Amino acid sequence: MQANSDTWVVVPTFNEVTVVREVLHELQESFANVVAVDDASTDGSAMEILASGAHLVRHPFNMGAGGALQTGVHFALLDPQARFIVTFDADGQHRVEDAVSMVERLRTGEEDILLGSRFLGTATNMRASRRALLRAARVFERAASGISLTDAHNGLRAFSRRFAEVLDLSVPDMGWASEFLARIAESGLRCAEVPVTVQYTDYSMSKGQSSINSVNIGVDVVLDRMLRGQRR
Amino acid sequence: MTWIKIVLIASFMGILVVLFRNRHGVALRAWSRLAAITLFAAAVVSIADPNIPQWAAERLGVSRGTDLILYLLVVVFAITTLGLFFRIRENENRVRQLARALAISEAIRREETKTDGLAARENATRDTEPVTPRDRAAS
Repeated sequence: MQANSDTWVVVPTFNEVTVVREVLHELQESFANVVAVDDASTDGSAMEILASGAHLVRHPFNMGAGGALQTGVHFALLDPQARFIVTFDADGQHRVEDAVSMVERLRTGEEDILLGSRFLGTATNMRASRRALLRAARVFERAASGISLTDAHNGLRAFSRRFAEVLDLSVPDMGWASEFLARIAESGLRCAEVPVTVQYTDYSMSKGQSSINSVNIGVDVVLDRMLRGQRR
Repeated sequence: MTWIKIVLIASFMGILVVLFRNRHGVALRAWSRLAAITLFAAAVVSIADPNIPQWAAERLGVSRGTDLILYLLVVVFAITTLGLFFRIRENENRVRQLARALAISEAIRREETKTDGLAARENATRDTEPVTPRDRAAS
């Protein structure tokens, strides 16, 4: 359990009662510090998190994936020993090995931010429509932030404390991924994509975003970009 | 291109730019109030004597007085909506930060009481009779 004691894994959780404990247990085998942010789940996810022995931070109301992520990062930064932060989805679509190897790579100091990509790696059972939507998202991200990625919306990411301190996500909902990229561009820190495996199970597919929501996400992101620039 | 069109388009553009630049200041609220007062005055005047807005409209190149009032209404509506939008956004941001701080401090307190509780229990068992392996097996 002493492995990776300078690393915090942030797991944003929303209504994942059936899988979250298992996911947290697996993470705790490789990481000493795991914090699950319960984004006001209504299905008892919080009890599962407590039972797993991971740190639990519980939102009083739903603040979206970006909000939960930011809370987890805040919490992790309270630990002065924290050097690296990993974000990991609660639905079991990521593999812990991928997270471990990402942190190992961060330790070399070559990059400050590593982003998982399912297109560089393998994605099992992905629907064609989902693939097309993710490709469109990629073009959008590129236009909005100037950073070109093969996979714009992967929940598995690892970054250094330096980046965590400037990360300040405010866009609600899934638009956080675009905001994340904008922050990378602003910070000027080095980032790279690494291939990861994403397991699309029946469970994770039933939990996915509905595709029409990408309209909301796009508008949120554009508005935020317009307004942020002139903030005092 | 009639005069009113130029005036309206220019004022819309001007308002947008000014509002976006000063959305945190008091200017936005002041202007939206001024516009609302103007609209109110125009409404009163047009009720009292419909010929007055009609006369003003003709000077400006609008065919009907009611159209002039409608244009004014649109301007007021736009400013008010934008003002509200900015304020709601700001408020949401504050609420989010507050909720986050609350959630984190609650988590820290929970963990502190949990470890305190464990320590207290350990002390309690140490103060009372030592637990024998047989007792432990029985419990």
